[in-house]
Amino acid sequence: MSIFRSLIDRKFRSIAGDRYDEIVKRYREFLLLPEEFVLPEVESILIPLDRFSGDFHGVLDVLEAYRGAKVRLVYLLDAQTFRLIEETLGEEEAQKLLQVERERGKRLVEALKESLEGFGLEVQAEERFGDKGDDVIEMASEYDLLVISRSFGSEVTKTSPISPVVLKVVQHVLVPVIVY
Amino acid sequence: MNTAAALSIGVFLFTYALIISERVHRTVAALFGAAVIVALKVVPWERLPEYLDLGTLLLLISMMIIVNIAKESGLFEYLAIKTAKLAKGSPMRVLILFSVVTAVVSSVLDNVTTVLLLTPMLLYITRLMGVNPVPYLLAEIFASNIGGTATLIGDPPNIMIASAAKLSFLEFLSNMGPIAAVDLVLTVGIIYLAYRGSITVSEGERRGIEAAIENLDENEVIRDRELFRKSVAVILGVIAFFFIHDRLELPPAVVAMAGASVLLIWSGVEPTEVLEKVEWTAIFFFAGLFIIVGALVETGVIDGVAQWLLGYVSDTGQALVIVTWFSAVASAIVDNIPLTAAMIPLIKAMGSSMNVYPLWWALSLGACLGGNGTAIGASANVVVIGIADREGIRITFLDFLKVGAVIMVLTVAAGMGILWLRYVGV
Repeated sequence: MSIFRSLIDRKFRSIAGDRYDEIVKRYREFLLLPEEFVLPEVESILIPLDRFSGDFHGVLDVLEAYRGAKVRLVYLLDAQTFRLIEETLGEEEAQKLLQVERERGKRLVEALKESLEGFGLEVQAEERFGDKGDDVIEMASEYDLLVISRSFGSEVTKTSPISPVVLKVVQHVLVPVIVY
Repeated sequence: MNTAAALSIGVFLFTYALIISERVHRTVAALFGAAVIVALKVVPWERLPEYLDLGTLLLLISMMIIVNIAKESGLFEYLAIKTAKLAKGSPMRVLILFSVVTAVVSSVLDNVTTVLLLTPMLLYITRLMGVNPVPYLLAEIFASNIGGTATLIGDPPNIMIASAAKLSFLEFLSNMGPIAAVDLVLTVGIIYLAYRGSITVSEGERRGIEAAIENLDENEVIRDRELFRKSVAVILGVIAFFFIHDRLELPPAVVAMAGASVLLIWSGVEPTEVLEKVEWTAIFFFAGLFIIVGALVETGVIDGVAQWLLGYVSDTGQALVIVTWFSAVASAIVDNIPLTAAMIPLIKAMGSSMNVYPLWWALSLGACLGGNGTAIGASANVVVIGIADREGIRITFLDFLKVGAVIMVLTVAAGMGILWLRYVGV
C-alpha cells in the first residue's frame, strides 16, 4: 500500500470510524444491481431432512416458484449416533430407535412430497445413513439449490437460531441456499 | 517577552506540530496542550469559561444530536433515492443534482455525515450507468465543502467565526450564500470540462438506467415513519428559527439546543444511545484548542502579532486578500479548525485599527474552500477517497490535486472577487 493510501486509510478510520459500514449495510438492504435482481435458474433442488427439521410450510411458497424442477428429499440418519447406541445399549435398542426414526422420516417425507408434487415439482425421496454435515455438503454440489431447515442437525435456541450443522453447510457449499 | 507568553507560544507550536504530524490523535494533542496551559496557570482557572466558546461547543453538540436522531429514520437515504430518481438516468443530471443536493445538505449538516450518507447512492448510480465514478465523487467532495461555506452551521470554522464575531445566520447566508452558489456552478462546469468524455451514455442505456432506478422505492428506506416526520419537522423548525434568531436575541446555539431537546422529547428515543453517538472527540478537540489559543490572547501574544501585521497591512482591502489566501493555502495543507481557532483572535485584535467585518467572510471563504485544494485538505475529501478505495476506485493524490487545485484557486478567487466588490469597491 502506498504512503498516500495508508494515510487516507488511517485518516478515514479516524474520521468515519464504523459509521460507513453501518450506512452501507442499510443501503444494501434495498439497493440491488440489475444482475442481482435475476433469479438463478434452478432445475434441481436438494432438501435434506432429519428428526430436528422444523416445519416446512413456510418455505413452500418459495419452492412453488420452481415449478418443473426436480427435487430430491433425503431423510438423513446419523450413522455415528446409531453406532454409539448399538455399542452401548445393544443391537435391539438400536433397531428399536431406527424403526421409530424411519417411521418419523417416512411421515415427514411423505407430507412434504405431497405438497411439492402439488406444485408440479418432480420429487424423489430416499433415506440415507451418514454424516449430516459432510453428506449434505457433498450432495449439494450436484444441485442448483439447497433448501435446509435452520434446525437441521440439532435443536436451536434463542441465542443460536441456526444449528451448527447448518452453519457448517452454508459455509462450505457453493450453490445458493435457502435456510427456512 | 515574559515567561507566560513564551510558554503559551511554546505549547501552541508544539500542539499544532503534533496535530499536523498526526503522531498522536488531534484530540489528545489539543487536550494535552490545554492541560499544560492550565497546570502552569498561563490561563487562570477562573478565566477558562471566557475562552471555552460555549456558543460553538453547544451548537455542534446540538446539531449532532438532531442529525443522529434524524439519521435513524432513514431520512437521508430517502433524499438520496429521490435525487437519483429526479436525475432520470442522465449522467449530466446526476452530476448536477447530486452536487446541488450535497451542497444543500452540507449547508445544514456537517460535511462528513453528508458524504457518508450520499456516497453509497452515488456509487450505485454510477455503477448502473457504467460511467467513470471519479468525476461524480470529486464533484461531491467539492460540493460538500462549498455547501458548508454557505451557512453559519455548514462547517465548524463558520460556527467558530459566527460565535466569535457575533454574526447571525442571515448575515452568513447573505454574504456566503451567493459565493457558494457561484462557486458551485463554477465547480460543476470545471468537472464537466475535465471529464466530459466520460459523462455520457446512449439514449437506450439511459432509459434502462431510469427504469432500474424507478424500481427503487424511497418509502421502503423509511425505517420509522413517525420519527421521519418528527425529524423533518424539527429540522425545518430549527432552520426557520435560525433565520430569526438575531431578532429573537437568541444565540444560534440556543436555537439548536432547543431543537435537539424538542426532538429528544418528541421522538422518545433513548437519550443514552443518541448521546453516545455525539462525536465527543471533536468536541474535546475544540475545547482544547480554545484553551491553547486563549493562552495566546491572555498573555498578549495575539495583540503583539496583530500590531506587527498592522505595520505591513494598511487597509481592509489588503487584509482581505491576505486573510483569504493565507487561510485557503493553509487549509489545503492543515486542518481548518486549528487554523480558524488561531486566526479568530488575530482578526479581532486587528479590529482596533481597521474594519474587520469583511475579514470574517474572507476567513470563512479561505478556511472552508481551501480544503478543496488537496486530497487531505478536508475531512470530506478523506472520507470520499477512503470510500472509493474500499470500493476499488483509485483516486491518487495527483488525480485529486490536478482538479482540486484548479477548483480551489478559481472558487476562492471568485469568492474574494465578490467580497472585494461588496466591501472594498472597484
